[in-house]
Amino acid sequence: MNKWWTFGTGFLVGSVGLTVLTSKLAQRGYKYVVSGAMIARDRILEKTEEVLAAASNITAEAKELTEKYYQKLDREYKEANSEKE
Amino acid sequence: MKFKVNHKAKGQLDIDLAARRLSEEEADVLYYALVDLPGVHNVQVLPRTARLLLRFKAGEKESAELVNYLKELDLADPELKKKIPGVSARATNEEFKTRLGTMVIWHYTKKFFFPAPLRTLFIIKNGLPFIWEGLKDLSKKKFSAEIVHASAIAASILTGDIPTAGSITFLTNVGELLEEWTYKKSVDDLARSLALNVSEVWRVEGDQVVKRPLGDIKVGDRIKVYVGNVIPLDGVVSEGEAMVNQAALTGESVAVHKETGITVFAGTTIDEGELTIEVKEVSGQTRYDNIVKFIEASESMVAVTQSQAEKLVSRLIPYTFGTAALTWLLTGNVTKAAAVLMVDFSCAIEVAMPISVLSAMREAGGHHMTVKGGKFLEAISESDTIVFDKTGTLTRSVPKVEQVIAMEGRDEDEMLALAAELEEHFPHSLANAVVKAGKERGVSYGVPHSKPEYIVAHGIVSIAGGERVIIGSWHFVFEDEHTVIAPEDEEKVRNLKDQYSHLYMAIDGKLAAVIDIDDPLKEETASVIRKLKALGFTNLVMMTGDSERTAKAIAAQAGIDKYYSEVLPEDKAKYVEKEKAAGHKVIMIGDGINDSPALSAADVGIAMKEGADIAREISDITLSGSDLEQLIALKELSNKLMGRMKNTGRLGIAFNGAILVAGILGLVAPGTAALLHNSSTIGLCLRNMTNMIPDEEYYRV
Repeated sequence: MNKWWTFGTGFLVGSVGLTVLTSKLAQRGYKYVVSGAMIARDRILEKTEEVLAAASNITAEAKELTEKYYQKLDREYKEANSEKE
Repeated sequence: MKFKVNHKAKGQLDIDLAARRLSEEEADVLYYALVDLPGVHNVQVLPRTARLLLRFKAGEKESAELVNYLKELDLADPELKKKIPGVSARATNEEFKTRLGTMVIWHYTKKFFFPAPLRTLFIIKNGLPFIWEGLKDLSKKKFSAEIVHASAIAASILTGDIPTAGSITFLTNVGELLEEWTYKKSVDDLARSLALNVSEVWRVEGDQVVKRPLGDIKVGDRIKVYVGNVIPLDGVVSEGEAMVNQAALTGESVAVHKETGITVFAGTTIDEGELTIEVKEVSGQTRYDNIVKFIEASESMVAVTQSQAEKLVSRLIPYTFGTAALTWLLTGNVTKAAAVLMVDFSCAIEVAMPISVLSAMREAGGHHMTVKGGKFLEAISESDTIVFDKTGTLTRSVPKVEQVIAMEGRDEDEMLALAAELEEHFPHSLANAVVKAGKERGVSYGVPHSKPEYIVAHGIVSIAGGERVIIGSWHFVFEDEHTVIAPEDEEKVRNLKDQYSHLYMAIDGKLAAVIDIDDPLKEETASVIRKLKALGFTNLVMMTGDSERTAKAIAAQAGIDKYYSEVLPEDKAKYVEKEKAAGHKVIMIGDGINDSPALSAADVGIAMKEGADIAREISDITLSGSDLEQLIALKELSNKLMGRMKNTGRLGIAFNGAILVAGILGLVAPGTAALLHNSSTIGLCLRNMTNMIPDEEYYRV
């Protein structure tokens, strides 16, 4: 009995399913699916741009910080050495 | 333009434009309006989110100036639209970024969201073209990387290791896309560097020849092109004859004879003679296609190191197969054998090396130098000899007329006017000086003159008021043309000052005037020469058409030990050939028509951007500005690139060799081997894309 169910479902999916998938109505629907996929892709690419901008900002600020740190070290070095003299 | 500063840091601005997104054209306008601004290091336009990232020479003032400039900017300004080159490198980059992004997104969508059977179907479909290519190569008995790819994919599919097959095809496709990008980018950069900088042309209007902007020229107009200039538009010769250098189109540097009725092409250069051309086409589209063809025909893009590495890799391919077969025979384990095949030595070299070259070319572009191929950077790193042309290279490109000494009691202004009118059509820095002085003094010569004729490296001949007028060097005016000096003027000629260059003008066989032109050394010349010596150039030579006395004075000031004076163009080329024959790698730097033979003879010809069009066309590298410091950056860049390429080859082979051994020992599965292999390749690529000279360092020099 179970076997027949499986066969029946398979037969239905194989014949009716294919007919449904290739039907005019379904074909009209595909453009929305594809367009949806494209929009999703563009969203991801937009996010990539945002991440890129953020990364660039972070790097720039990090550079500034690093520079300040070394400037501070330079100052301390100078002060320490001038005291010795 | 409306915008908001999103983020501000030292030397960086993140700007949010008041728009949802930018059109292709808006993005191009914005990019090309900013990219050539002084002090701006890097421009990134993010069109999808209408954002702009600017990196510039750090400073509050610069930052405020940039913001003000952006406020004034109008993206619809037709003047700015003109700045966009025929093929926008920015648009190409954006296109490839989208393609790469789509490829990656599609791959992972399939991987994570598609049911297994559908995924398998897609992977087999994507793998088949590779297997087909491999079979084709195999039938030709050609051992190529394609065969390795094909067998690795086929082996993974047959052993049921579908994900591995999927990641191999995916990564190979990504690699191919990157290669295409590399290639397209080199072509675009080259096309841009060859793109016509001619913005004004001489149009024939009635019996007059008038300077007009290129944009005003229509089909059917007649334009006049003089010696040393680029023919700006396609057309048919309606008058005159000339030898035309078509190297930019055909790659052959032998000049072709053109006369009435024959077609000439935009982008070619007149070596000798002059032409009146009836314009047939005003768009430059055909030109770009021609350049692409030219590049495809020439192998000059590839550095020798790279082609050597590629040869080495293709020699390794049979061994890879042998090892795989041996592994299979000894262990009877297909998986281990497949793991060996996954390791493809060529990836690192075929992808990572071109990327390092491309990145170096891009970096050079960032420093306002145009490099036409990786080969030339390689040659620079190996060279020990530099031949300098004096005028415009070591000296400022804007010489000035210091004084006019009129002979035979003639009028100074009149003599200057005549010289200016004759020199007007010929691009040479001394000529420019004379023309400029003429304009400044607002003088004009009453008598009309005939068509001036240019004799390369010698001077100009014309007829004015029935008398033969010649202008040129001492050599030309006195030795070739046997001009005489009136006895009362001998004193004046003897007292000419050494530090000036002299242009002699004779009318009817008698010396009529001497124009003293001052052409001082660039401020940085002496320090650049010192640095070049420190960088390992042992043989620095100056060549000039000037007299011995002027040459000696200038060479001493510049710190150059070897100089040749009163040289003819063919002498420069001969000297370059001689040095090459003696085993030296020779760099030639010059900017005039007369430097062209030497520029093409040298291993690397470097031209200054302000120089004659033909010098720029023939040269392998162009330096913008008259900044000689760029030479040092160029040398440094070349050395670093060579180091990086060799290092890429070694790392690639070492890393993949290790994976190979691990695969044989069964330490890693084929999937892991492929992953390790590909991530090492991508890692090398990413490293090779980074700048070699930090911005700060360049600007500190």
